[in-house]
Order: sequence, then structure tokens, then C-alpha cells
Amino acid sequence: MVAIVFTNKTRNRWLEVAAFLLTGLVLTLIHTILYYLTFKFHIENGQFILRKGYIKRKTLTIPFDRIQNVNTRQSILQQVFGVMSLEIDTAGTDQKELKINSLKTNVATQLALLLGNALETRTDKTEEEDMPVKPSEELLLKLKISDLLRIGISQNHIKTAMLLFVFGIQFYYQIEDYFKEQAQKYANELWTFLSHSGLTILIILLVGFLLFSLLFSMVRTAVLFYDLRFYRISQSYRIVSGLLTRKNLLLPFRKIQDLNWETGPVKRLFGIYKVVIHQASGGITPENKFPEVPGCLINHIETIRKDLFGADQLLDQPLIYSSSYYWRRTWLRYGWIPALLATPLLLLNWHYVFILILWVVYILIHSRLMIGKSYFQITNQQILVSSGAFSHRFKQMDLSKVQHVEFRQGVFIKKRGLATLVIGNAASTMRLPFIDAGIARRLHDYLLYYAETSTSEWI
Amino acid sequence: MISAFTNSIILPENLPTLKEADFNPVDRKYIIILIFNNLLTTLFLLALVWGFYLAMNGKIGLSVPVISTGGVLLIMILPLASTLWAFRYRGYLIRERDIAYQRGWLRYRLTSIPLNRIQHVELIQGLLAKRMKLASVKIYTAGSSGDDLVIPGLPLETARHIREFLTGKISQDE
Repeated sequence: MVAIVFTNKTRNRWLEVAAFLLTGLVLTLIHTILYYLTFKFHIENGQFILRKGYIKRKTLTIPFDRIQNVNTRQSILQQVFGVMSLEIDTAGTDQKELKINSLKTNVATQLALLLGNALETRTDKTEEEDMPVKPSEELLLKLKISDLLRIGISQNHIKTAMLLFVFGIQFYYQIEDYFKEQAQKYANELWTFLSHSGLTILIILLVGFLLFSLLFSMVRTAVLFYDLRFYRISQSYRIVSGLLTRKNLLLPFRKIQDLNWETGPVKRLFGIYKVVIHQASGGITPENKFPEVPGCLINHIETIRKDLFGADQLLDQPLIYSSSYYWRRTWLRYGWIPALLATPLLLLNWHYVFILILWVVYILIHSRLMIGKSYFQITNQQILVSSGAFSHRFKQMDLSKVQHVEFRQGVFIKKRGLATLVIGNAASTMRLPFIDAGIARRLHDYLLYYAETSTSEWI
Repeated sequence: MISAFTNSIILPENLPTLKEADFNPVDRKYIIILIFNNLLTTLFLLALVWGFYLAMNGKIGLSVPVISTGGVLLIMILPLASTLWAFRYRGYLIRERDIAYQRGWLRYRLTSIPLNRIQHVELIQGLLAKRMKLASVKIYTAGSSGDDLVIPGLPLETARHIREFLTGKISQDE
């Protein structure tokens, strides 16, 4: 008797749950359909207008001249259905951004082109509203499988290996909580194993980590940069890349804050550079803001620089290096001082002395390499800053993008008549460390003067 | 190399320079807030040290918290002294076309922002500042590169004036 009542109750419960789920499903379906039916957009008088919502109508109006960039994105699932996501990003303080999730591929591409065109010819607002003729695209760079291989190999594997190592340690602590005893046991065994077999095992482990890192970089490179194509369309760049998700970024020249390129020890062997283009940050995702084009050759960089900054006036400008005090200070601050602070370790085991010496020597090498690359070039309209130690980084920007200048001078460098100048735009900052204080002052004044009198748009 | 630089760049004549004497000092009462902040951090660190000692329940000797207290006081007094000494260098300057703020002695910094690059301006007032009728002006530029400028320790009236002036300038530019 009791049992029957009980089963009845459970059956009722099941029915309730099913009814509840079904209602939820139907409501979601209705919501989706209504949302879909009321989601409409059109273009009118140089504005992008989107209406959505059925209970509360919402209208989003974006004037073309507020649009920072237009990007499309297509995941595998979207590729199957032949649709795309379109993202319209506006900069400024209102942080308005707009995403349309499933547009037919050809509509999305056309729309992106139209908006992209509007970005370029902003003065011409009375232009006809029908689909524009496709402007000629010029393919500047296309990454082949062999290029991806080179890019994968030339990543910073020591850094990746370190990250993996840290991640491994964290993972170990995580599982330690769950399988405390086993983990402890394995760890102890591993430790005894390590301490008994010594250097050989350590080297094998290190090589293992490096190989793993190599594999990891390869996969990452392939996923992000598979079949990367870098186009130029009159006054914009278009970057298409990705294996699983095809991304399509449109970058109008005017919106680019600064250009960055870097090379490293392995990259130098292949003669390749990684290019990163900075746009004003504060929008959708950083990966769209700072698009990366690895595997560029020096002539690609020259082309981009010519596009963005005009003929290279920097060519004949002298390189103005940081003072040699910069490397001595760095050596002292990051080499000797930590080493001296760590001397109590010697009480535990005097063998640590080798590590300390190694550290001081490593920082010495780093500082010496750094000082050789720490310089800048400047003309009346633009600046190029070089930095790096093992790798070599360059950053070039138009001076009209300057929005903040900082003159830094600690007591010690003041005595030597030096100063550090930090120049910021809407995306990033550049440092001119330990340069002549007089030059720094004059540059500070000049940069302000230039930004204040410049009439060109800066974001 | 430096002389080459001087020849190569053609700087306009009579470029306006910032003169340190022109800077307006911040309100002297702001010193109290600086001391208070330092005190708060010191107390927090001391609480950590003695809390740890009490939590260990006699497993560590009394010498540990006593020495640590000495250490904490020592490392908190130095920045306090430096801040107080550097107070005289703190100041702001508003010119026709830009705003500048300088501070620090051990690490002197002078930050300047052209007025036509300002996005918006905010008035900030902490609890203590409210009691003392002080306020900070925060100046935002585009993007989120974190180089927004904060000028603290202004008399409330001055802060309001500055905000109004800057806001007026922004709408003029647009």
C-alpha cells in the first residue's frame, strides 16, 4: 500500500519534471523564433541601425564614423550551415559593440565590405546604399604549411616549457587534494628517483618538456594561423586566418595606433618576423584588437611601414641609444641585489653559490644584449623604438596618436643627467629608457605640441 | 650621437616648456591622508605578524613577532619619509592645451595629457577626503592602456572647477 502511493508520487514527480522541461523548451523556442523575427537591421544615412526585442523594442544606432572595425568569424558548425558571425566594434567611452550571430556567408561578407568601405570614405556620406563593387584586393602574404612549421619551431620554447612546468606544479597541487596519498607517494618516488639518477634524468626531463612545448606550439600555430592571408584593400588590411574558426579582420589604416614587429634567435635564422598591429583597446576581444601576423619577411614589414607611415623618413635618422648606465643599473637591480638577498641560502647548502653566480652572469648577458638594442629614431612626424635582449622588438607610431607623455627621473639617474620618457597612445605605451634628460624634456614638450596642434584623427 | 639628434630634428622655435615653479601645489591637508594610508598598511602588516604568532599558539618564540615588528616599522617608515619629503614636488599645472601632474622625489614623474585627448573627467572622494573637503580629479583617455591620470589632494572647490573647465574643453573640441 505504502509502496504504491510512493510510486504514484514518483510518477507524478516525473510527469511534473517532464511538463516543466517541455514548457521551458517551448518557451525557449518561442523566444528564439520571436527574437529571430524581430531582429532586423538596415543601413540608412550613413548609420547602421539594428532593431531587436519583442517585449521591449531596442534600437541600436551606430553612425559609420563611430565604427572602429568590422570583423567576421566562422566556426566549424557555422561553416556547415554556411553562416557567419559579424562583429561591429565602436571605440570610445560608450563601449557599444554589436554582434550578429548567424548571417548568410555572402551577406556577411558583403556587409563587412560595405561597412569597411564606409570606414575609409567617411567624408562621402551621401553615397549610394546598394552593395558596393568589390574593391581590388592585393594579397600581401599567405602562409603555407612550411611557413607554419617555421613559425612553430621559432616560438619561445623555453618560455612555454616554463609555463608548462608551472602549470604542471599547479596541476600536481590540484590533484594532491583529491588523491593525497597516491600523489604524495608518486611524488616521493619521483623525487627519490630523480635524486638518485641525477643529471641525466634531469636533462631527459628538460628535453621532454622542450619537445612537448614544440608540439604544443606547432598545434597552436596551426590552429590560429592556418592558411593565413594578409590582404590590402586600398586603405585597409584584411587578415583571414584559422583552422577551426576562420576569422576575418578588417583594419583601416587610420585606426591603427602602432605597428610592432619582432624577431628572435631562431626567427632570425629563418629571416622571419612576427608583426602585431595595435588598435585602440577597450572593445570586444584583445585578439581582434591586436591581430598578429607571424612569419613576415623583411620586405613585408617594409611594405606595411610604407603603407602606414609613408616613405621611410626614419632611414637617415640617427639611432639614439640609451645611456650605458641602463645596463649597469639593470645588472645591479636584477642581478646583484637578488643574488645578495639570497645569500642566506648558502647557510643551507653552499652549492647554491653556483646558482647565484649563474644568475648574476645570466643577467649580465641579458643586460649587455639589452643595451645594444635599446635605441630610438625620430622625425617630426613619427617615432621608432627598438628594445629586447635575446629577441629584438620594434615599435613604430605616428606622433599624432600620442595621448599621454610621462617624464620619469629617479634621483640616481637625475645625478647623471638622464631620464626615461614614456609615450602612450590609445593601445599601448613605449619607453625610451635612460636617455639624455635634455632630449627627454624637449621631446616631452614637442610631443605635447604635436598632439595639441595635430588635426588628424587619433582613434 | 646626441649632437646629431639636435641637428636632425627641427623643433619649432619657442616651444612652450613646463616650468616647475608654475606648478600649483596640492592641498597641505592631503599629507594627513598620505600618513593615514601608510599607518593603515602598517597596522595591517602588524596585525598579520601578531595574528600569526597567536595562531601558532606558542609554537614559535616571542622573538619572531618582535623582530618582524621592527622590520615592518623600518620598511614602512622609509616610504613614509620619502613621501613626506617628496610632498613639496607634488603639483599640477593646467595650461591652455594640456594638463600636467608631477610627483615623487626618489622616483620623480611628470605626466602630461593634451586636453584634446581627454575622453571624460571624474571627481573622486574617499571617506577621509570627504571629511576634509578634499577630492581627486581622474582624467580618462581613450583605450584601456591604464594611463589615466589622477590628481589627488585638491580642495573640493578647486577640483570642481578643474572638472568643469576640462569638461568644457572636451565639448569644445567636439
